[in-house]
Amino acid sequence: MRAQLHSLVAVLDCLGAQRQQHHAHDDLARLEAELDAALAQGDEPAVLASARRLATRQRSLVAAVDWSAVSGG
Amino acid sequence: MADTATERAAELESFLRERSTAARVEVTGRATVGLSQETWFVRLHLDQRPPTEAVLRLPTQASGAQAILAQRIALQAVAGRGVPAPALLWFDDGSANPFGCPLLVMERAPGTVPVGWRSVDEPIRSKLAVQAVEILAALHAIDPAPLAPLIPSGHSAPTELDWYTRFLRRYEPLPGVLRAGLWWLERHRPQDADRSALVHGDFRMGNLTVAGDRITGVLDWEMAAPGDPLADLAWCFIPVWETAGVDEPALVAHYGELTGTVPDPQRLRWHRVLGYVRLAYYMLSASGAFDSGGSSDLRLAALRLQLPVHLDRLAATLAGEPPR
Repeated sequence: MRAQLHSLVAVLDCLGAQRQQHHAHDDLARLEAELDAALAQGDEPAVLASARRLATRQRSLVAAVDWSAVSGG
Repeated sequence: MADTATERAAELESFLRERSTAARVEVTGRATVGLSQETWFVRLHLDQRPPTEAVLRLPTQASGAQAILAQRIALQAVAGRGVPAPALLWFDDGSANPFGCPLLVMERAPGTVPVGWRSVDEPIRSKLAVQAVEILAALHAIDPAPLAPLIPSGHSAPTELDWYTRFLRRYEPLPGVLRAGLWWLERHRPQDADRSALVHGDFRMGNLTVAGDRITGVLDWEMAAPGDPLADLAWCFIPVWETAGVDEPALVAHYGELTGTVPDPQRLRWHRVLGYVRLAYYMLSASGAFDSGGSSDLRLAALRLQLPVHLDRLAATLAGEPPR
C-alpha cells in the first residue's frame, strides 16, 4: 500500500512536467529530427552529440521522484 | 492476501506430503517488491525439529515457467561453489502438483535486501562492494553448461543485445535516444560473442541479502544463463536511481586480479550502454503492462516516469561522460 501511494504521488507530480512537455514540443521535434538525420547518414559523432542534446532536454522535463520510496514498499 | 496465503500453505503441505514429508506450513508474508513471480515467505514445522524459514516461488503469467526452471538449475549449479545462494529444498519442474505449475522451495537467506548501494552507509558499502565482486569472480568460474539447454540455438539470453532488439519491437516507435543506443551497440558489437561464464543476469544490490557487513545471499536467479561475465560486472554498479557510490575502477581491477583477466574497458562500456537499454526496456514493458490493463500496480505506471532519466544516462555513457 505504501509503495502504491508513493507511486500515485509520483504520477501526479509528473502531470505538471508533462504539461511542460507539450510546450516544448517544437524543440523536442527539432532535436529528434537532428538525431534521425544523423542516424540516416551513419554519422557517429553527430548521432552521439544529437542524442546527448535530446536526452538532456527530455530529462529536464521530468520531475524528481523518490524512487526508493516508490519501489521499497 | 489471507485467503491466498491459506491456500498456498495448504498446497505446500500437500506437495510435501506427496514427497513423504509431513510438515505444517505457516505463511509469514509475501514479497511485494518483486514485479514478477509469486514469492511467499513460509515457516515449515517439520517433526520435532526447530522451524525452517523458507521461500516458496511460483511463476506468474508474465514470468513463465522457464523462470522457475532457470532458478532451479542455477541454484543447483552454484551450490557449494563459494556463491552464497539459498539452498534448494524442494522443486518441481512440471505442473502435476497441488499448485498446478512449476515451483521451488529454498532456504530463506538471513538478513535484509537494501534497495540500492546508496542505502548502505560507508564503510560497510565498500566492504559489501568488494564481496560482491568476489562473489562474481567465484560465480564466473562455474561451468555454465547446465543452463545451456535453456537457450536453444538461434535464441538469445536476457543479457544479450539480440534479446532486447527483438522484444523492443513491441514498443515501436522507440524513443530517439534508445534507437541511437541500439544503433551504436550494433555498430560496436563485440565480434566474439562470449557465453563462457555462468552469469546471474540481474546481479545488483536489490538482489542481495545483507546481514551486518556480510552478503548472505544472492537472490533471483531467473535470468541466469551462459553469457559474457562483463555483463554482470557492468550491471552490478550501474546507476539506477543514483550512482552506486563505490570505487568502480578499483573494483573492476580487483575482479581482474581474482579471475586472472584484464576486463576490457571498451567491452565494459558496451555492456554499460546495453544496461541502460535494458533499463529502458523494463520501463517500457512495465508501463505497457499497466497501460494495457494487464496490471493495476501503480508502481508500473510510475516506472515510465524514470525513462528519460535512463535515456539521459544512456546518452551520457555514449558520449563518454563519467557516471553520475
